[in-house]
Amino acid sequence: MTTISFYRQMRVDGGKRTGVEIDGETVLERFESGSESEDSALLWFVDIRCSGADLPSETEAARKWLLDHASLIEAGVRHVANELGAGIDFSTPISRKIPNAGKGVTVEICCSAIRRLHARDIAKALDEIGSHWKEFLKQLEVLEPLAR
Amino acid sequence: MAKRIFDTSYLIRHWRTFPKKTERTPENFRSWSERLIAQHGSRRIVTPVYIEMVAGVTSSDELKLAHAYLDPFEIVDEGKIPKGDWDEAKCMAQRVAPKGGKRQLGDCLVRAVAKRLNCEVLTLDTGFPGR
Repeated sequence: MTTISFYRQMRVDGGKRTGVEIDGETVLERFESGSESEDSALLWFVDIRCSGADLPSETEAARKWLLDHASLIEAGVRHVANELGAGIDFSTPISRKIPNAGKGVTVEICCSAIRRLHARDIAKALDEIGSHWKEFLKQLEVLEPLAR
Repeated sequence: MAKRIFDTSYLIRHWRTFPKKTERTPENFRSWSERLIAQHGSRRIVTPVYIEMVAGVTSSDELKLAHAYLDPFEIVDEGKIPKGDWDEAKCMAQRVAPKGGKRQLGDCLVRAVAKRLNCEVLTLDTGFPGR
């Protein structure tokens, strides 16, 4: 069983970290700096967690797999964004499985607001991921093992 | 696991929300923290958080529960905090937030280690000054 996780998270200082992990190890990452007033406290995170026996375990193959499944993931992310926009209880992290991910493959969207954000704020973050999925993936830089 | 480190405030709140109707056994506390880890996609803590959690217990029975609760977490600094982290923590300790408020040793160290490891901090602390 291989796991591939895409994550995007935002800090209090506005910095955003986006990355991909394979079996728990970060292999791709990009950090967008926030304000000069550095604060690493997390504001929210969104994970897209994929698992399956036939998922690739090599870095670029994992990126390609995520790009190849863009339609499925974009639709799933928008679905959760709509759900959040409708005002569901968001007092604890939520997770939603994307249906029809393929035989033996599970894709789950997990998100949480650490501070008291409105569900609508996370919906915006999800919309951004859905709208820029391929762009975000292509921008990620390969991490050398020592930098992981 | 994603680059997120739990701080003590986060774990204490979670510890306190252990379901009242569930028996307070080490097994159940371990399951309780495993649930937090699964929800947040991270099992990372640092040594000061482990120490603060253990230091907060008030009986030997509670210590057993704390050990069970903390067991699933990964202490990412492996108990080794280099001088650079202490220097960074010292800088953070000298920042004063606009609204005032004191900084704690543990908070400064957690953030210093997190910075070195390019991680973000899962915290409920809202008074920590940026720079």
